[in-house]
Amino acid sequence: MTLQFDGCAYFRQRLVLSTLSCQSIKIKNIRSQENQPGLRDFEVSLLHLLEKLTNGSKVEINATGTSLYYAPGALIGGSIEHECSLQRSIGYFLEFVLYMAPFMKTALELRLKGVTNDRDDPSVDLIKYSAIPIMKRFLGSDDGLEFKINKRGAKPNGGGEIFFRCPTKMKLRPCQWTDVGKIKRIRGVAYAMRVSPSIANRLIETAKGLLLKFLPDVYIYVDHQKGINAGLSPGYGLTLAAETKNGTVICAESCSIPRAEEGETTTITIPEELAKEAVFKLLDEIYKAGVVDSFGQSLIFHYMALNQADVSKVITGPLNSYSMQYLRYLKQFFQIMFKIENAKELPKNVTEKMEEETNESDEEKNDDDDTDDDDELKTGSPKILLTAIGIGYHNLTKTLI
Amino acid sequence: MDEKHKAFRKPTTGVKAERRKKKKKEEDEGDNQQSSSLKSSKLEDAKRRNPKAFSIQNPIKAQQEFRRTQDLKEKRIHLPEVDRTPLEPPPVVVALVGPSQVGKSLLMKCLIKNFTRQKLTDIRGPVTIVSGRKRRITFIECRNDINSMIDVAKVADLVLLLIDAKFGFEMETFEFLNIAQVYGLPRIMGVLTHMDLYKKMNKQLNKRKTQLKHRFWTEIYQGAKLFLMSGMKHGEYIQRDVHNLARFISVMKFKPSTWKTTHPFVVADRMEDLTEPELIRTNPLCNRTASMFEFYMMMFNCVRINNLGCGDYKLTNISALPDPCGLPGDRSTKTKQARRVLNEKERLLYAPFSGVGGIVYDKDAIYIELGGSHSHRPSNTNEKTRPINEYVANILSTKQTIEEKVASSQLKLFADSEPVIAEDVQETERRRMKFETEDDDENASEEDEEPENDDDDEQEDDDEEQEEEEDDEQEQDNDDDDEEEDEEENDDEEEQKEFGNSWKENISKKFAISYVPNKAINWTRLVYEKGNEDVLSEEADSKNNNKEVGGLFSISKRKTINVNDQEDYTLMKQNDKHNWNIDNISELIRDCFVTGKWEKEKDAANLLAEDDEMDDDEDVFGDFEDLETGEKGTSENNKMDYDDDDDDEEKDPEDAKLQNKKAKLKSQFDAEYDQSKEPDSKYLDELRKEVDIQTKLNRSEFENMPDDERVQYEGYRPGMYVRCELTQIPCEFVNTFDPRYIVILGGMPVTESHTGYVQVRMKKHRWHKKILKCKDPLIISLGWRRFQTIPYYFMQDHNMRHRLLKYTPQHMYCHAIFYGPLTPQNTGFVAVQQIAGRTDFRVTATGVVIDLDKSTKIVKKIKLIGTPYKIFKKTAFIKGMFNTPLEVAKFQGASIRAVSGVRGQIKKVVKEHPGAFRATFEDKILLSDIIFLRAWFPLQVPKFYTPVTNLLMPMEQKDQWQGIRSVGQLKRDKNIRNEPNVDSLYKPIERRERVFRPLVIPTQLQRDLPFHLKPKSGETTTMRDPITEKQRVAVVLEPEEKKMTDIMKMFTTVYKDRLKTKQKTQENRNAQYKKQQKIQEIKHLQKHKQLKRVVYKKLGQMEGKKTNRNSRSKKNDTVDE
Repeated sequence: MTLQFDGCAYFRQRLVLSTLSCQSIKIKNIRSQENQPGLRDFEVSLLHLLEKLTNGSKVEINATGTSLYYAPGALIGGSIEHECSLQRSIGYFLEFVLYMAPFMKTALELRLKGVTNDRDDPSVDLIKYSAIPIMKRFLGSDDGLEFKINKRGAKPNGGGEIFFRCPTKMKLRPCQWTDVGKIKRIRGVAYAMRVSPSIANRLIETAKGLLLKFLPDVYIYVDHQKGINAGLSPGYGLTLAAETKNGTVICAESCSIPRAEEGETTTITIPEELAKEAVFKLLDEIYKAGVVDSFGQSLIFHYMALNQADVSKVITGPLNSYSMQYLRYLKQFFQIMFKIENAKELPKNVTEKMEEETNESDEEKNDDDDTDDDDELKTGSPKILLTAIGIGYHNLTKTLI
Repeated sequence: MDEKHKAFRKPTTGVKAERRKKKKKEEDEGDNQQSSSLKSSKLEDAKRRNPKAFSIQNPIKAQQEFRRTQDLKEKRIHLPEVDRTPLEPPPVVVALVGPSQVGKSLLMKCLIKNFTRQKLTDIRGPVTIVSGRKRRITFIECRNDINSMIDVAKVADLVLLLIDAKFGFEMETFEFLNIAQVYGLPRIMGVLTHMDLYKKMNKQLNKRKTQLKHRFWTEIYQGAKLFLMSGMKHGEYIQRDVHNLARFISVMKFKPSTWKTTHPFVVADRMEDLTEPELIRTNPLCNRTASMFEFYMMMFNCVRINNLGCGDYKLTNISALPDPCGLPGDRSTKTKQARRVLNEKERLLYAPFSGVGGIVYDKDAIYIELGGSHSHRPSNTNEKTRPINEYVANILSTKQTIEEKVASSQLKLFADSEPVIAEDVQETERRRMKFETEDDDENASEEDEEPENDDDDEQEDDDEEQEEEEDDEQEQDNDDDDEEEDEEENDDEEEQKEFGNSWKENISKKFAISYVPNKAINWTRLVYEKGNEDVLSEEADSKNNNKEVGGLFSISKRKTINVNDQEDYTLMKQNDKHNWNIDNISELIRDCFVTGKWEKEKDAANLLAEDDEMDDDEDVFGDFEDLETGEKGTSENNKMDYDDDDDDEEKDPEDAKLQNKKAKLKSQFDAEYDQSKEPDSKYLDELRKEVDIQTKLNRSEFENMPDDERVQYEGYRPGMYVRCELTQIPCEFVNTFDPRYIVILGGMPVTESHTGYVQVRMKKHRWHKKILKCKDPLIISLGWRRFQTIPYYFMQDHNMRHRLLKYTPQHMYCHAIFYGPLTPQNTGFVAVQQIAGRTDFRVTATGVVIDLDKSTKIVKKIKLIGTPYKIFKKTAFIKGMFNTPLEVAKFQGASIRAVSGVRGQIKKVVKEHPGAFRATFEDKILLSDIIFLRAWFPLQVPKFYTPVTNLLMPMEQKDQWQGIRSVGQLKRDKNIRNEPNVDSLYKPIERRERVFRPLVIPTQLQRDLPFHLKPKSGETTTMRDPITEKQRVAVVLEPEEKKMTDIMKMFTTVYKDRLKTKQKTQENRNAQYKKQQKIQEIKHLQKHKQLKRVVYKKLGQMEGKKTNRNSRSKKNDTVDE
């Protein structure tokens, strides 16, 4: 039954799916060709976190750390505190937890400490903006769902802390989310830790200057932390979130380069440049986004797959490699295949008919079927429609009574 | 006291009488006019006049009543669930259950004959028939064996419970009912047989019938159907009876249990051994590959299959086959009117185990029934004699489809093996027909396909490459699309410059693809086809080789990083600089914002315009406003009018648009109308609507897809005829295969295919005679599986502690935990102590799963005992509880208790004795006290789990499976008797008769008592001690001793006399002394008196003087005034 994998890639995906499908995995040749072979600190830290989350799991690592055997246990959840490795930011760990959080035995109350914002991983702000609305849709409500950034911490020394609470569910709700909607407002947060508070204002000024060309409703919060709440290293950054009328949130962010690396040839540590980068990234995301941004793709696929045996549908932009790999792994672990179509290929009548079926009462039958295709809407990249029937996943650990 | 009172007479005169008369008169008048309305108005009037009479008299009672009605109302409501049954339903599983010799086989034969007009002589295994346009039925006969009963209870939709009316209910019937209740009671109909053994219309018969009926009703529900097989004719049941029963079966509706809807299963109606004959020849005991066929009842692909009664196996292959027993639905559409009655051709019967069904299609072969190996007649004539000749005639027409099937199949089961022919050991009756071209076709088709794909890939890739190269050349292209691509390209280059790693190449590549808007990408292929990723990355690498950064330097290329060695990043790394151009971008995404252009049907301006149009239209149907007000009577009328209008409208085709609008309005009205009817059920309605939408979507989403593709996304639908291939099955399964034992393949989702600790709430069955002992093995049927395991029973204390129980409670629920397969919560289970052998009532316990975990928290109480050896005031030194100081250190601070109830605490180790310690108590304890320490010891539940493999037993012993035996049984079998602890044995108790001291009333009290309570004379109040009295012995003295005692007596009397005189003189002296004292006192008093007198005299005089002076001065004062 043990599934075999090779190399260090998609480490989290493998662990998540192994845990949820209760199949043991073996990963070989982890950085076996490199100068420093074997698992890195952050991966070991991730395994420690996983051990805290589960009960009865077994991890075996060989002497060089190049091979790992993992036999999953039951997810127990509860109140957990974890000191994350400083090599990767909290986002790396938190994203991993998000996949499993609704399937715990008891509601998860997680406190993660470490680096909150950096350039490599999605920051906690981005996860807060992007992942929470997705989770809300699949959980059915945001009852018991809580995300709080208690302290911020930048690389290299970290010192940040977040709190994440998630309720447990017996099963998730299927979700048909095929209308992206128009972006109605842009929100964001400009944070600064152990630097001058004016930097945050400079970030906002630039970002707003650019964004107001698209939309009048732009509001960016300042989050300037002081004292112990500002962590142990200086840093600043900007996270932007565009919200559509249908509840879609598209996020992008940019963060300063940590001081240790500053000798390198980049100019991004200038706040104006950074803000500009963040804005353009957001625009890029808007171009590529469906109902989720590129961060949310794999997460939403995950929840679609681990659902009741009902049809779920979402529209996304072009798939990124991470989510494509996730789809492959979902097939490997759960034998679930997604129907992937280009959304434009569907004749317009079909989609409308579908909509009509879903809400017969108030949907108006389209009189003029021959809509003129000559002035097409400029809504970014071609979208993809993904359809899947959930595997009928059922939280096996939750206690009755 | 029976005095007769005068009856009350209403007064005929006076005010009241007049008022009454008036009232009556009014009433009569009212009757003539409108009695009802008047009455109601009167009631209203009365309510107004006398509100107290109509108010709630008893608030608490009213509250209770209200609550009850609400409870009942709520109970009726079921949570709406998504209906996941397919449009073409699987066959209904009808099981015939009953004890032996009750007539199951006969009834089955009769039913089959009734449905298909075919007579089966020897029924073995399940029989599937087509009973109607929309219904197929699979009949299975349940062996009289607990394993079969459990299996049947899990899969049956309808159970025909056969009861021997002459004999009455048998144990098996009730066992089955209790088993079935656990798995979600299927529909149950009772059938009384052997009625012909009674004389016709006997009183006894009627009595018996009612008796049986009522017992049956209490078990199922009041009014459950019970059929009578009133007699026999030509060795069969009377046709009318069977026909009635068949009618009921064919119209009955079913609601499958949750378990069945979420877990696939297959009732195997055919089994083929696919093992290579060579393997069997060399090693007759090798594991076999077998395939099973049946109608699949499932939703999604599962990996593991549990063969009930055989263990868990991996499903290596599953494929859908053409249905041998298809519904005749499509044929009926050809005829003008769909007939409800089936014609002869449509009454299909399929029972391969019984040798019926004619031609049997496998994936790569066709089997034709030849009617036994000894028939040497030519096949054609043979077929003509049989009722299946029409199938043979159909071979030619169906051949095409099979070939297609074969060609499309990817499986190379027999690619290199010799064709298995009729010489095969197992198939003596069947001959396999093999297509010559089959293997070649398969290979060829595969080969054909693959290179094509490759070509396509390459071509695509080439195109892209070209495009990119072009891009490189013309850096600042104005084309938007290329711009995007270009930027990506730039990023990558920069990345390479900075980091020199090329792992992101494939990502950028993919994005490059995605950024070309006009090009449709086959995402399914990109994601799911193998080797895609590698191709892309390799290609990207090759491209890199050609790149040069400047004239002098080229990138020192590291060796390519494999896909598997990429670092785990969710998003692309952000260390790059961009040359953004905001205008270009804004041009691309301008309509993503609310400020951009809207779709036509959502554009506000457009909508407004349409609305205006609508308003104009509404004037035509002016009565819409009335509809909105919600007056029921009028609205109904209006609606009717409206419908009429509709008909009119249809005549002129120009106004289709108008009609649409009308339809919309109508639906709107309907929705509102429905809502207004039951205002409470709004939430439920919403929920129902949601579920409805989901159901519709589930059904419609993959409707128009070809089956082989659809199966990929959706899994095999219930009702498909599938072929499941299992490997590594023990050879006993094939060698001792008995079709009369039904074989069920139960599918497991991935998550449920492993073991852990299962916590259940359970109860010993009331009819099982003994209570259950902890750690005794139990055979449990949970989910699909039947297995033996060792449960631990426990209770949950109030502080959530899991306290071990030695035995289950007699009539109460308890918890149990055992090691077994993880099965979803709320799944029921039934436990049996042993399968083999006859016992009273075999269903031992039933229960439900409540929790699943990988560890246990179960604890057992343990009492450590010690004795004090030294006691100070509240401190005591205790030994004997522990053996080493280390143990004491572990328990420091633990609370302990003396037998007398004095509580204390362990303080510190003492070195006097090994394991002794100092403890303090709340009071001084006694040296005779025993000190207890109560602790909880965690227990490990043994990881024992073994599936019941009764299908692997030899032919006639399939109900004789024996797992591990309990300790008690082992001892009994081996005749071992434990020597009991002597201290624990009961000995005869010797009790001494107790003698109590008599009541002694103190003399003082005696005196005060009233006479009747006083002890009377003769009763000596001051009794001697009765105990000493009894023990006293009469003393006979020796003469010398007597002399001595006499002398002693004399001495004592003399001494006593002397004492007396002494006392007397002393008394005299005392009296004299007292006298003297008295006299002296009197004297003293007199003296004192005299002294007092003098003093008072003086005092009086002084007082007199003073007053005189005062009066004088007062006088003076008054004079002054």
